[in-house]
Amino acid sequence: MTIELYHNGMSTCSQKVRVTLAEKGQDFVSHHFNLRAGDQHRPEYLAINPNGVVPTIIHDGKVVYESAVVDEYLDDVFPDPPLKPSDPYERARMRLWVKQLDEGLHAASATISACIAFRYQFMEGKTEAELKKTLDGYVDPVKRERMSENVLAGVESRFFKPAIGRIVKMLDDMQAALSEGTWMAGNAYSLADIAFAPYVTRVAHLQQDWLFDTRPKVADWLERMRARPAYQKGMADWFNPDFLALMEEKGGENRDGVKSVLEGR
Amino acid sequence: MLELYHNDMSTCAQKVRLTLAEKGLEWTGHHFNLREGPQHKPDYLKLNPGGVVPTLIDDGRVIIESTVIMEYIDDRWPDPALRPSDPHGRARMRLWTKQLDEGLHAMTGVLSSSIAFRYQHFAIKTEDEVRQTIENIPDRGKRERQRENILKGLDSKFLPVAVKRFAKLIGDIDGALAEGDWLVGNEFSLADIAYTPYMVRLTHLQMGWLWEDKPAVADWFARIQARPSFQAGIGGWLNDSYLTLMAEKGNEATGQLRALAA
Repeated sequence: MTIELYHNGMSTCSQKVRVTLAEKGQDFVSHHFNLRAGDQHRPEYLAINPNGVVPTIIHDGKVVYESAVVDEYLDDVFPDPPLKPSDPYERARMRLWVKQLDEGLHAASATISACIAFRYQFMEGKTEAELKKTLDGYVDPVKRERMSENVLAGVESRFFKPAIGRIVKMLDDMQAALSEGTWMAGNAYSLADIAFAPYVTRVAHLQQDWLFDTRPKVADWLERMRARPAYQKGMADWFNPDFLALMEEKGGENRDGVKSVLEGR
Repeated sequence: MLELYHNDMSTCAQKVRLTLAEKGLEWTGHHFNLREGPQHKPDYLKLNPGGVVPTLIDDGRVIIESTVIMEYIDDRWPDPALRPSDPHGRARMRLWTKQLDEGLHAMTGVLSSSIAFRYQHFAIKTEDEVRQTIENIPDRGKRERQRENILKGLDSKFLPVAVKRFAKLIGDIDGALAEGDWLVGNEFSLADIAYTPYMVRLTHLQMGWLWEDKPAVADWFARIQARPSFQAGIGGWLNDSYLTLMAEKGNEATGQLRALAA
């Protein structure tokens, strides 16, 4: 049964699903979207995913979206190797991790990415009027306000401080959990590890891996993740070199700015 | 032994009590009066760092967050199953429960506070004390919402968005029920349980007009209320003083709320 995947190389939510597919040894037919060109807002895509975001899978003629839901679905239909702990309590811990991403962590990651690096993609080659037009194009008023300030003010945006604070809390929580077990939900590698790999990787890509210095368990965990063939296949093989170069350059330039925001929090 | 830290009217506690009742499980309760703030005491924060109810303790193992607790209960006591048998049905179920955690639950707080619960604060506190209570809320987003909802009531800037969101939800439920008796096809599941407390809250706030032209929604809600679990998990726990307040203030607000939904 073919799996079709609508996704994007650098999208954290797409990364989660590609890693899960790779762990399960499942190939897929790729529909790669250029998110900056707005492929995800086309009517034919909105017909299958009304939220206008990636990823979406079509498997056996059935549409499944929202990465946390897709990952559980893939583990239900391809139970081998299992990516949920067998113990109900550890499974609850896994779900408690994954849920946090949907309740603010994913948005915090998007904010720090925009403020530190992606804002330069928005501004590049645009006049002030053109930039304003792009930002005014966001339909959701909350997102419009947040993106406008993030693009224009960068790490000085009032949304940056709580976002980087949330990311630091994530790293603290991981350091604590990984001090008790090899993997995030305990001793079994699970969908929680897969779900967080893209966000910890993003911190590193944004050149803020100095945050791992005092959180060695997180650094060790990321090394273990990177060593898995599924990480290579689902994440690294899809990294966009232009994005990596931008994050490296701007992340380095903004490192002191990030540090001073965190010291003042 | 199963222990549950909960509150009579909390929507998230209602979800878990319904689930426990569907499974026929016995539990020992620790009932919190949330207006007095026991949920913020250090001993409880060790169990539940977010300082919210419910918390389930199963033989010393602590499980928090109602959506996670519901799946835990179904994993631990699989019979009768409360998740659809096929993976796609389960995915659809999770799409429903996830929406609550991504904003719908918070918006229920907006409705309840700005329409009715704000008066509970002013009844026992001076305005300065009310302001202080708000500033003590640990979560920044919740603090900002409650500042508007409690101080401004129906003029809260969050209210129009919340009313529209619930109007959309009722439309989505109506759409799902075109395909079966329950939110996910013909199998009663955690999705139906999860949305029951919110339907109850809308009813208490006199917002049943949201489904006045949607008989499928009314019938579904009636089917839910006819289950024995409804009485055990919700009906038997209703707090009369809350109901009186919600009925009175809900009626007063109906005209304005209908205009916001239009």
